[in-house]
Amino acid sequence: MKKRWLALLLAAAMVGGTLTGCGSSKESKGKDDTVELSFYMMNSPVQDQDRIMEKANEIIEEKIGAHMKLVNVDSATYAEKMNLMINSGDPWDLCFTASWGGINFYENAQKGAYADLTELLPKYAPETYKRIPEGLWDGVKIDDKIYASVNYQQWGAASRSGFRLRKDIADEVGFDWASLKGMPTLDALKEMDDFIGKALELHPEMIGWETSAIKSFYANEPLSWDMEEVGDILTPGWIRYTDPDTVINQFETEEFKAYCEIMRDWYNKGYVRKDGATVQDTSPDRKAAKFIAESTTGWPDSVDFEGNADMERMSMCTKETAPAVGVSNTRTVIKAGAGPNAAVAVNAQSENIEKAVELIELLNTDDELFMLITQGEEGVDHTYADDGTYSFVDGKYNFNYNEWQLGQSYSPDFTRALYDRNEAGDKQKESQTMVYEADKTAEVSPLTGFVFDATPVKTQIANCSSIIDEMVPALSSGSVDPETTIPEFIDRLKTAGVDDIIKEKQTQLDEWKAAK
Amino acid sequence: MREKQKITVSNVVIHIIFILLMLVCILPLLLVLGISFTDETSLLRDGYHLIPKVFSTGAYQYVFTGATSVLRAYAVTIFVTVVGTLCHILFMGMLAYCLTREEVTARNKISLFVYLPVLFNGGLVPTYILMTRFLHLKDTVWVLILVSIASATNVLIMKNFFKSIPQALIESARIDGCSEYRTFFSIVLPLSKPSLASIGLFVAIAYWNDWMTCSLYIETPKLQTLQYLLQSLMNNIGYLQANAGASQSMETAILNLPSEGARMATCILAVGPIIFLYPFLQKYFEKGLTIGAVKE
Repeated sequence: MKKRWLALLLAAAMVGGTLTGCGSSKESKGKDDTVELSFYMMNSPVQDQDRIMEKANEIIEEKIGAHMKLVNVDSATYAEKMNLMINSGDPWDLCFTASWGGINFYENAQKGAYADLTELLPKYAPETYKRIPEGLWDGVKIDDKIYASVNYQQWGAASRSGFRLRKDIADEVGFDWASLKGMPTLDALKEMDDFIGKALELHPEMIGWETSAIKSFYANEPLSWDMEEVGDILTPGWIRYTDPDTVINQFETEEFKAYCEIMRDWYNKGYVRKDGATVQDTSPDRKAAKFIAESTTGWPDSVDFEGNADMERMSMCTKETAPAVGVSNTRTVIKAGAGPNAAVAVNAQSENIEKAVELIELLNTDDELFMLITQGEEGVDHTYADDGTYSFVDGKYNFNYNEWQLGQSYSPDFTRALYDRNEAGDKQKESQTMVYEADKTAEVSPLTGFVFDATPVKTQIANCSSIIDEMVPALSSGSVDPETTIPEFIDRLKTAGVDDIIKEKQTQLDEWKAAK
Repeated sequence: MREKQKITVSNVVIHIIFILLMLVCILPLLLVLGISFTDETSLLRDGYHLIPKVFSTGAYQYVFTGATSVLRAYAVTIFVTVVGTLCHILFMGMLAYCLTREEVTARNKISLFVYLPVLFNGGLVPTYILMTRFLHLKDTVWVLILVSIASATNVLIMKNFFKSIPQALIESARIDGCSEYRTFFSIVLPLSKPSLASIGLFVAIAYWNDWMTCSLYIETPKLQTLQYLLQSLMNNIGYLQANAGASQSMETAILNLPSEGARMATCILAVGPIIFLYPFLQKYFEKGLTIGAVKE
């Protein structure tokens, strides 16, 4: 039976043939005279992407003589994948980068993974460079060198936090929501206590306040507590805006204790979900319009500007199912992390760094190209109804609202995003104009330009992180008694070396201040 | 005719315990099935129910027509599982067989070469560099197969099984004029069916459930596997929600992700085929469990 193993050999040869075939076809691509630039970003799968990219590449080829290969990586694996590609020296040209969610902008920039764009940006991307407030460029600088191009978003750069609550229920109960304006967060929560209680009596099927294992209103929201994180948000060590020179352990403050006590009280009274310490996904509750009040980072609020569509509905709901009002209670500040909040970096190993910067400029200045990639074609992928509201066509190209990763969606003329062609659209433009104006006058974080180098206290941070991951969800959802648990939590942090981290942050901050 | 068993207290207790255990295993699966057939609005309003309050196949329609092409992912996964399992068994079988043959004088040295990676391996980054820079396998379907084509543990198990085949059988085959290949394919392999089937089942499940390889090496949506799609559906929401502060667009992005029902439907589709493998391979599986347990 020689036939059998002959067949096997043949199969093996075929496999081998295909493999080498794949290899060689890849190499020949590069020999074309147009450069191919790969752009990695996080995005869910996109239908019809080939059609849109073909059109987009016609424009890109005509303008700068290059091709863009847009690679969508799943958001949950993006950080890991990008870091792996950087560590292994895999070829890529441009990528979305940020200082949150494990994407590690600072670490990678310090390591030399990203190209130094300090001189290239003004030369090859003058418009991109000019448009962005200086404070944002400071955010992506390390040792006075720029390592990424900031994606200035249509939502502005300055942050302000606040609350959103159900308008219909507030009216029903007679709650003066506008009084929360500018109130310290603790007082505001106490003020809302009574309101949520009365609301739940009338609507027992609802939930008073959102708690979950993935987001703590304290640990993830320093701005609401008039503080800002030094380095990564979930590591110990924040500063107060009222005392920006001293690094503190955010879990050892009166605020944290008071917050946990309120949450414990709400937990006992049934204001929050009983399984808040473990629940990962609260979007079903949001979609079902179950929340009476929630925190929000959106603004301008309903006091300053009536008619901001994002403030008039609860998160993930429509205005009809869950009418809302928003009220902000913090200061308006451009945080140190606002620059690398969303940015595009170029690979330091890339052979076409200049071309890559040209592509950044093109994406940021060519509105037609940007709109094509982020919104698809009008009439095919999105349409305008008779009343002027736009909507995406089912089953067609849909960029999943990830335009903020690709480039600047900021545009004072409103030519880089879709707006309803009616009153609602005008209102949105008006409210965004307010944001752009505020960006020019907003306070700039005292930490802007400071980069914390975590290497000396890496072990301590890893140890503390696992304790924080374990304890914070339980504490901030009210599942455990803060009276006994907070001291235990702090003790465990101290054993894990939290004081070393605070001290290290303080030393580096002092040195940076002195050098300035 | 089997003797009628007496109903004793201990029997009843044991049965109850096992019925409870079975329920613990099977109820979540049935619940997922129930959710996948529930209408989306009813799901938000009434919560999860074993029997859908409002029946709907909307979730499955979404899964089959949406941007995440499940059908293609199915094809990729099945191809990878079938080809991967066959190649794995063939190559590991040949290697294990050689290691049991006395004619192979260097077999101890080769064994060392096989077992060493069990104790020491390169880790993620070197493996990645090897796969992408030297073998140029990134973004090809072969990487999904090749990454887990060799397993020292399976070689060890097969080797022990091949040892239990009487030496005389192989010698008599040779006297009758069998070539080495024919001895292996016509004598040794058929005798080792139980071991091959149980190892095959393990390997097939490993291939079927593997999403890590896909997330590392695959960039073209066309080559994504089913488990990877599922994994991403489950994780994306959490990741985006936790970082929603980065952009107001993110909230809309989350809203755009598949609903609860669609996720459950994908889940059902992903467990589907592999769950039917078990009953067919059960008899081999039981036999296979004792492979290598007794040493002579």
